[in-house]
Amino acid sequence: MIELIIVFSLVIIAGIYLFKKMYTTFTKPTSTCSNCSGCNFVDKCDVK
Amino acid sequence: MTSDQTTLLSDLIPGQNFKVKKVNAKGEIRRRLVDIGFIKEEPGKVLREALFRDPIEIEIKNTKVSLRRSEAELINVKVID
Amino acid sequence: MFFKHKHHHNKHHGHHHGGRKIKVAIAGNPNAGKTTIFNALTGQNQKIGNYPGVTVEKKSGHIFHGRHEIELVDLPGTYSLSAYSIEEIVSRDFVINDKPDVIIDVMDSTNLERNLYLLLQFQELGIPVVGALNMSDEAEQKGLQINNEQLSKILGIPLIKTVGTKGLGLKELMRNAVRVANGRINTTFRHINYGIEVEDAHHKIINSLQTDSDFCSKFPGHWMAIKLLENDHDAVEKIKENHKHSDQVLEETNTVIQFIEKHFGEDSEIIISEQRYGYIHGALKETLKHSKKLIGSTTSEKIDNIVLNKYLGIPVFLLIMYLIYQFTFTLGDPLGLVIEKLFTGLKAILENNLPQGVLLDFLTGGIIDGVGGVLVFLPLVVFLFICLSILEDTGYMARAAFVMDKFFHIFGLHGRSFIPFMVSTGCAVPGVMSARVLSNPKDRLVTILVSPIMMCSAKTPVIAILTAVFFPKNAGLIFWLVWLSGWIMAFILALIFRKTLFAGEQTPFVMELPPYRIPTVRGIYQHMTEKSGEYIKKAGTVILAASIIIWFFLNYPKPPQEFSTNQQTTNVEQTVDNSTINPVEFSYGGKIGKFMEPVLKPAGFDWKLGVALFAGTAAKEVIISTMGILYGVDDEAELDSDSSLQQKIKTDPAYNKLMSVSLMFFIMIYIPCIATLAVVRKETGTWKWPLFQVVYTLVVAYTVAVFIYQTGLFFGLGV
Repeated sequence: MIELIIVFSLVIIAGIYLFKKMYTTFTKPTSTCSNCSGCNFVDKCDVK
Repeated sequence: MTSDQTTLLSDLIPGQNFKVKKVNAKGEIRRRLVDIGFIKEEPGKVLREALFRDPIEIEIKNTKVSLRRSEAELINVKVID
Repeated sequence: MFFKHKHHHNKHHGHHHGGRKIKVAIAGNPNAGKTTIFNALTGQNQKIGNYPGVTVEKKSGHIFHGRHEIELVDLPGTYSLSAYSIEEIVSRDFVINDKPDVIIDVMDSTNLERNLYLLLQFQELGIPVVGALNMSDEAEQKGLQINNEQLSKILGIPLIKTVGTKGLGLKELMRNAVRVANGRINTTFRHINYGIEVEDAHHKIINSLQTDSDFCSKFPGHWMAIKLLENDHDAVEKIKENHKHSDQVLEETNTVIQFIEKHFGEDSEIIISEQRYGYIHGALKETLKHSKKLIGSTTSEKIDNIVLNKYLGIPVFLLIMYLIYQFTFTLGDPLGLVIEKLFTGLKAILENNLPQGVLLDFLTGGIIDGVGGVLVFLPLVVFLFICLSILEDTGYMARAAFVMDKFFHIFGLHGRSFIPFMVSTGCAVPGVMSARVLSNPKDRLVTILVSPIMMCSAKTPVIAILTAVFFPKNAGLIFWLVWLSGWIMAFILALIFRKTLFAGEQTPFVMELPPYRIPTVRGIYQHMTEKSGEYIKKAGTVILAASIIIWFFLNYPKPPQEFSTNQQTTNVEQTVDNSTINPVEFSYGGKIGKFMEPVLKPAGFDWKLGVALFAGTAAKEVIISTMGILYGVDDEAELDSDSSLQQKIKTDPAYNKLMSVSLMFFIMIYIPCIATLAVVRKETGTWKWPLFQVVYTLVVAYTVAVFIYQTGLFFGLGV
């Protein structure tokens, strides 16, 4: 029973995370840097 | 006798040196050409051409520059040795 | 007449001692090393944004020099300050509106003529300038001796020798910049002598401008006047919009220009450019000496003779790419196997130590099968990125654009599109962004729409698995052919777009070819750690989350109680592929897949692929994750976790060579991943284009896949 709870909570967390990621990826106001680190849904540009 | 004759840059072949005489263009393309160094009396050299002789690589003002044939056709030059 | 205006800052800012924030703009030609210097000065303290209203990137940073706080803004690299490109306009407007305290102009010392051309124009804007004679090491190597003290006197500004890549001279550069900003060093507001007639005209225009004193406090009069003489359309606009007596000013401008042009028989714009260069020529004659004959680096030329050779250029490129992929696979595969074994081992440990049940399922079937499958390709992807970075760092990309231009032209593309295409081979997100090098908006849009069709680092593992499974003897070659098809399809689509939706003018190709550089070991190491980090991060976040969701959708609802996974009951419907019913079919995911199946069949796909392709819109690697999870579920009862994903695909009767080909093409073309769509939206500023991309890629992908499969069946190539 506990297992089920843990697992399903994780599933829900994963779902929320993905949703949030997609949302910020599309609505982020500033442009990402031209030295882009690649397609991994960057929230902020962390170019060195 | 004196070759004050000018030819088009596009008519030159790789290895030839030239001096710019005039840029026959207006607007953006002319500005680009002038800014990159194609001004009167500026010496330059044709380095190579791509397949079908387009684009053309030129050395001018100590830099290698790439130009389309259609752009080179806008530049009057005088061949120098 | 020789005007020399001393420029004092004090009237511009509330000036108090120490601790005042100083605003410094960094400008310079492209390839002069401006960005290297900016990065060296700001390090981690950078912020990236946009110039208002345009997609030109604005980099700024905060640093401290002594007790002064400095805001550094990196202006876009330009050769001039005309009104023809957005970068130039942005630079001009920034200086006029934001009024920095000082401008640092980073110049390539081996190319002073052109670099000074820009410097003079910045000086005309009325803000003090400090010059950095960058790449001074290269200049020395080439035998160029620059008397920077004398040149500094002639120009009236401080000139500091720097080597940006080694961080030399930067402290002194900043020190001078700060002193200039504080008014401790006076710089001259250089006004070169354009000749009597032009000077006269200039004077007249300034007088005319001064009829509106508000305007003159907002816009530098001197600069405005020169721009008006140059027929600068942006300057004309500014007059029209801001000057009280714009008609008067413009009429006066016209009159004086006509006079000049009649006098010289040449456009005033040209006269001014010539004068600038003439002035520079004179200045350098006195201060620049060549101690040895300027030999254009002969190695560079030798390389060019091959790489840019008219006949060999394109074949050389194709060969280079073939070698790159061979290299990455040769190194990446065995390392990938190691990682795979690790995960298999991990799975075994979990299975031995945890009770059967949901948690175990979740961990092995969801997380490990999902993420593991993707991480197996970490070595391959990293090597790929490294190779591409090296290619870029050496300067090859810019030169290859030269060779490609005519060829690209046939398809309505610009040689410069080569770079976005090449970058997209790594990842379409920076690829789409690098389409900014195209100044023509139509060129740019077509390039953006078409670039994601290329093979990318996410598609690579997927295609790699398929070629390895279905073409074991020629995997490498087939892979490269698929890679090539990506290019071919992109070209064809670009041509179609250019002929139909986006017909239009071609832009000038004029392009500088930067010198070859040898990539540094440190640079390669940095790329390696950077890319590995990102790939792992992506796997650990997005792909992990996606795998969890997919696991859920493929496992729930569970098949009804009376159905055992081991049984092959005869009163159960046969599925299309004649195997036992896969318990996954009962789940939400399975139901979606089954629902899609009729549509998938003509292309040769089954419902499992339907689910995988659907999930793959999040990120193409997820296709692998999904397949992994799918087969993992199927496998539960057997606990045969030793057979890899490859083997499972191979032995699945629903799949065959023909289908794999239509599948590979489908994967290459269909819907770009969400990250790409997001960046397309940002770069184009509207939802219209990413949506269009979704639709057209899906339609084309489907059509192509069906065509391939049906044609193959027709010719009896099936199975």
